[in-house]
Order: sequence, then structure tokens, then C-alpha cells
Amino acid sequence: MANTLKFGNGQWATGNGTALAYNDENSNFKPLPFDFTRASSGTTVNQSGLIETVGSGIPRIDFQGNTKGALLLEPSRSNIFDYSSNLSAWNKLNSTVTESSVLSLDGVNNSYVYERTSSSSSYIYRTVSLSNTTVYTLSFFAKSGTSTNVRTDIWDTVQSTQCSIQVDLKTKAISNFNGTSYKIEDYTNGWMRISVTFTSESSFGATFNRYFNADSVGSQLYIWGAQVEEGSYATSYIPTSGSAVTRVAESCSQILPNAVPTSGTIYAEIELFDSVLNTLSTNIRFGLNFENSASNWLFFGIESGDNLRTYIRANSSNSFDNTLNGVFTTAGVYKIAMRFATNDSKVFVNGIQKSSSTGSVIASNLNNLNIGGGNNNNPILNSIKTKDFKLYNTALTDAELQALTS
Amino acid sequence: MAQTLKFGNKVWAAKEDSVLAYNDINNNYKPLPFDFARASIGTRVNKDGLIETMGQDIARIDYTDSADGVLLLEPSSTNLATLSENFSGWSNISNATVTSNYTISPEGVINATRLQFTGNGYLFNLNSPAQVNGTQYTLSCYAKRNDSETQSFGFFSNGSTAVDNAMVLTNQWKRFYYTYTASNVLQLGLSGLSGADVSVYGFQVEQSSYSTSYIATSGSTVTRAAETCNNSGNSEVFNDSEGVLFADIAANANDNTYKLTSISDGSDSNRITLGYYNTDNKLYIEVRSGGVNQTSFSYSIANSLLYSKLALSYKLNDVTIWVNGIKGTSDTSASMPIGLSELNFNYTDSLPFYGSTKEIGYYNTALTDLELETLTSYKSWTSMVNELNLNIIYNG
Repeated sequence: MANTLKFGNGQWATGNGTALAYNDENSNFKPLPFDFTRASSGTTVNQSGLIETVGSGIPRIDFQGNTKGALLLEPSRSNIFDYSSNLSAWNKLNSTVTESSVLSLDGVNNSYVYERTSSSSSYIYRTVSLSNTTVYTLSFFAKSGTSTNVRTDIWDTVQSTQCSIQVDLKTKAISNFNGTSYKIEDYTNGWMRISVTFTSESSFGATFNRYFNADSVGSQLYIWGAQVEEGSYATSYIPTSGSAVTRVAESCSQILPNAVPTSGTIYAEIELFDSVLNTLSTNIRFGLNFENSASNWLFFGIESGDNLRTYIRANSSNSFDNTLNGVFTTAGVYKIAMRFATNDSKVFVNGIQKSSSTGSVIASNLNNLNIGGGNNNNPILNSIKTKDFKLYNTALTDAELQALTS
Repeated sequence: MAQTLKFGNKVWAAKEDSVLAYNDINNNYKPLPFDFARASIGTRVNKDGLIETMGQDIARIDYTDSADGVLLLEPSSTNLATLSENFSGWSNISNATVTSNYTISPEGVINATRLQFTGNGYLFNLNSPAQVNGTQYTLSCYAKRNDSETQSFGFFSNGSTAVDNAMVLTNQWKRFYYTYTASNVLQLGLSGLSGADVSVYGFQVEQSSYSTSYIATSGSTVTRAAETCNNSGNSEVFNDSEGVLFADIAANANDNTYKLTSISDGSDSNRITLGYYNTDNKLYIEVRSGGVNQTSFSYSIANSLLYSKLALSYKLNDVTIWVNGIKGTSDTSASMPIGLSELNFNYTDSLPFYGSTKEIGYYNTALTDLELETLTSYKSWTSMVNELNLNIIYNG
């Protein structure tokens, strides 16, 4: 089977506005770069496990949770917490905050150590402004010192607690949880990211995001990278220093040198986030079209949470449009392959056939390859990591599809 | 296959008015120099990575993004910032301590300036340059951070003195760019938040959608003249009936203008043309014989700003473009030109090529598809990444 295009799988090279895919048939290496857009800076976890800022237009290869890297694509999000890591700008109650000698997760700046100074009510905080009846996710990074218990909440003078969670940084045991879901992720050097998703109340007084050292007086812990964003899951860290900051949505697509044959295979190994648990989540699609037009288009998609959609359209006429529920039931890694061929198209997920069409009609002019975009070549609408992506100029057999996705 | 003309590919020689191409068949070296002109000085980045000023009419072999060097050809451009290095001379400075000659600049001498922001501050020259509303400008400046702290620092252009375009600074010199459409004609410059501590050098303002090489100023605007590079080879080098023109090039900008190379008979009548079309990210291919276009088409590529290995293969009724190892469009009905005698970085005195050239080669016989694929491909993933000037993030 001829592998027409390779992308990722442990080989990553990027530049401004581009992420490199290639063809290596005949041992001749031919670049097939994706056009990448993001009109803002962004952060990623580098090979050292540190959170690194990359400039506008630079693709992010993320190494959080994997050693070979993955292309991270995220929708637009805003961090409305105005001093995300500069704790000296936070308000304090019976607490002190001082710059420590412990490196923060950016590997450049020292983190702040937060010490409880009274057995009375004690916390550090900033004001945040939430919209009514809106899904938010609060996240922050914490590292234990002499204190191992950290608590956060968003508390409103009218509506009281909007969300809260207390975490034992040694055991990851939680208490005082208020919200719809939470997540605790390990980062390097003993840092953890704790996130809580909640829906805001319908009206507000003054609202504060508070952080508590939930251990004894005189104990210390480290906090860095506070983030409050609208959405049902935490996205990559967005640093702020005085005002809200928006990371712009990303897109990744390319016009191929020549149209692909009317039979071929698209393969992707992807990591899905918690959005698959949300039936209201937006589409993630991998596909081919003709010059950004929806008239000639085929794709497989992760839609409305855990659904697999298979779509084939030629000359403005659908020959196959199938949605299968319950395919992506948990966040995690999936291997998906789509064979497209006249009257013989199939999709396999993790080694199992999930959809097939004996009436598929494939357009002869498909030349635009899109990774993850919600619709056609639109920017990404939902977070995804792509570990490996391939385009074959032959229709793989069922056995090959099964082996490829197993 | 006989390569009858070679240019570049790590082998560079230039003197005033001339840059060398050659033929080395039978290990006999025959010069086939281009005529080169630029009616002003210009700067390049030399092998040591330092900015160096080149005299008038001396071609610039630039090492900014290639250890092998590239021929840099640029249009005329003017640095509208009148004090590109003397930041302490800027008229409006707020909440910033300016220390001239603080550290070694990208020029290799101690003439970079330190900016320490004691509060949220800025630097600009009032009404200099005068901007025109609705016109595109591109700012550029070299910068690096002076300590390990995160720096909030960048360009501003809208008169508010708040950062419009933040720089992601490291402890290494990097040139930053910001293109915008003017909406407030009064002020542009640099601004930073309290605590920022940076070094800067080489501030440049160009009325353009892109930036060009650095143009130093010290009190008034300075213009670098446009460059020309033409007239290499002769009728013995070029074969009228068949051949291959190879180019490893990148355009200087996606600005919807033609940027062409050609082999011609010196007139507008007979010509082989290969270059960039007047639509972004497209090539233009033309074969003209007896004053009539035999072949004329555009061909989409991923990114004109990335280096591409291009081969235009021509023989009777078979004109084909190869791009980065992949066979592109063919025309199977074309008569061949007559009297080909000169290779030019233009389209017979018009539509000059502006960009970077790693290599030009000419073969006086048609090549096989496999030869063309190999010619226009890279030998390894690593060499491909390096030659495309990309950053290897991981290579497991």
C-alpha cells in the first residue's frame, strides 16, 4: 500500500504558518506542508514537560501525556482571570505570598509560595466576572510544599458558591466538590493541574475566585497559572497579566499538489478530550474536499459528543451520510481509518468496522486536506491532539484497515 | 544528463556588478556570470550570523535562514524610521530607562540599546514617520530579553501606546515583524509593561505588506535600491528543443505580484519562464515561441514563502512542472522556442524575481520522471526540514 502523505507519528517539524507532512516514496522526501493558522500566541507542553509559549502562527506540538508529541488544535478560549501567575497582584486575607526559589511550570520564572498566617479565614483571591447560566471551567496548577491541601472556589456575594474543590496534593483525594465535573492531571516537577467545570448561577453580586491553603498555619504551597474560561473543559494555559487574554482558534489544512485518486484511505490517531462526554460539543472532522467547497467532500467526524459521522458527497449529492452513536464514549486515544472508493467505503475505529457504504460516489477532484476543522476548512471548534495522520492513494482492504487501527 | 549551467548550491562568488554561475562539464570550469546591479548599499546576514553592509552593486549572499547561503534579491524599500539604532534620540519616551551601547547587537558590535520599563511605558517619535490612514505598514525590530523574567513588550501602532503586537522574547536576538493598516497616523513605536527589561536594535518602518532586509538610518530615511541579476549563459548552454530549468527558490512575499526567472533569446519572442504568479502561492509557467505563448499556466503550491525545488521540463509537446518531487501540470501541445541564449531573474526586462535563491540549474536534455522526482526531492527527512528552514520539534 502506497503511503501518499505522512504527518506526525514521532516526526514533527514546524514553522510560521506551517506544519510539515511529507511523502517519501522512492526514498525521495517530498514536503507536503499543512497551512496552519492561529492569530495569537499559545502555550504547549514541551519535551521537558514545561509550559512553553509559542508565537502567533506557530503550530503547537504537545508532549503532555505522550513522549512522541501530538499536534494540539484548540478552539478560541479566553482566560478571564486577570493575573494568572503573578500572585503578588492577588488580594490576600490572613495570607502571605512571596516569590520562591521553586521554578514555575514555564521553566523561566520562579513561582510564588502561598503561606497561611492565621487559623481564621484565610485565602488569596481575585475578582472575576461571570455571565449568567454559562458553563465555565476553572483550572490552576498547584504544587505541595509543607502544605498538601489546596482548595479553590468561585464565591459570589449573592449566590454564594458557584463551584469548589479541595485536593490533597499527595493522594489526589478530593473533598468540598461543587460542580459538574473535575479533573486532576500530573505535570512535571510535582505540579498538578486541577480543573472544575460548573454552570454559573442566574444572577450575581461581587464574585471572587479564591484559593485556600487548607492546611495548618505556617504551612506553604505553590500556585501558578490560574485560568477561568467559558467552556466545558480546560484548554491549554493562557497567561494573563492585567486583563483577559484570548487564544484564537486554530486551523490546519492544505491544498495537495494534485487531486487524490477516487479510491484511497484517510487514517488518524487522535486523542480526544472530555468534550466527547458532552452531547452539545461541536464537530471534529478529518476529510478531503475540493477547494474548500462543500459540494465535493468526504470526511469522518466526531460529532455531538461520542458520535462517529461518515459523510461522502460528490457534485452536491450525498451518497453516504451515517451517524453512529456511542463510538467515542470516553476521552482518550482512538485510531480511525476511512476507506473511500466507489460503492465500497468503510470506517474502522480501533480495529472494528463502524460504518460502510456500498453506494458511495467519490468526487474526482478532491485536493484539499483538512485536519479537525469543524466544517470544511473552518478553524477548529473543539480540542484535539493528532498523533499520527496518513493519506493513502489506495483503498486499503478490510484486513489492512483492521490492522492499521488496532 | 548534462548540466550545462550551475549557480549557487553552496558555491558562491561575487564581485562588483557580477555574481558567478558556471559550467564544469569535463571538469573544465567555464564562467557564466550574471550581471548584477543595485544602485545603493544593502545589508545581509553573513556566515557568522551578523548583519553586514555590502557595497553598491555587490550581490548579497545571505545566511539568515540557510547555512549554505542564498542569493537575496529585493525590491527597493525605504526605512521610514529615521533613528533605527539611536533609541535614546526618540522624541517621546515614557517610563523607560534607555541605555545606549548596552550590549552586542546583531551587527556584532556594542551598539544595541537596553530598555528598562519602570512603569507601563513606551517610545516613539511623534509624527515620524508620517503615516497614511488605510495604508499598510510593516514594522520590524531586533529584540531579546535581558533577564529570565517573562517580558511584556512589543510594537504599538495605533497611537494608544499599548502593545498591539507582543514579542515572544528569548535571550537570543530575533527579528520581530508586525504588519498593520494605519488607522492612527500620529504614533508608532515600542511599548512595554512595568518590569520589562529588553535589548533592541534596528527599528524599521516600511510602507509595505512585508519587511525587507535591514536598512540602517541615522537622522533621515534611507532607501535601498532594487536589484537586478540577469544575462547568464549563451546559446551553447541552452538547448532550444529540450531541457530542464531547475530552481530552488522562495518568494520574498505573498503580495500578488509576478516574480519570474526566464531563459530567452533576449527578446520577447522566445522564452522559457518559471516563477511565481500574481496570485499568492501559485507558480507561473510559460513557453513562448515565435512571439506566441505555446504554454501558459499557473500551478498552486503550498506556500511561496517556503523554499521549493522546481523543475520545468520542456520538449516538443511535453511541458511539465515538477514541484518538490511531485509531478504537476503538463501541457502536451507546445512548440519549442528558438535562440535561447540568456538566463535572467526577470521576464525580459520586467516582472523581476524578488526572493531567495539557493540554486539554479539548467540541463540541456530532457530528464526521466524518476530523475526529475529525485532532482526536486530531498534526500532525508532531516535535510528536508533543514532546507525548508523549519524547526525540528521531535524526530523519534
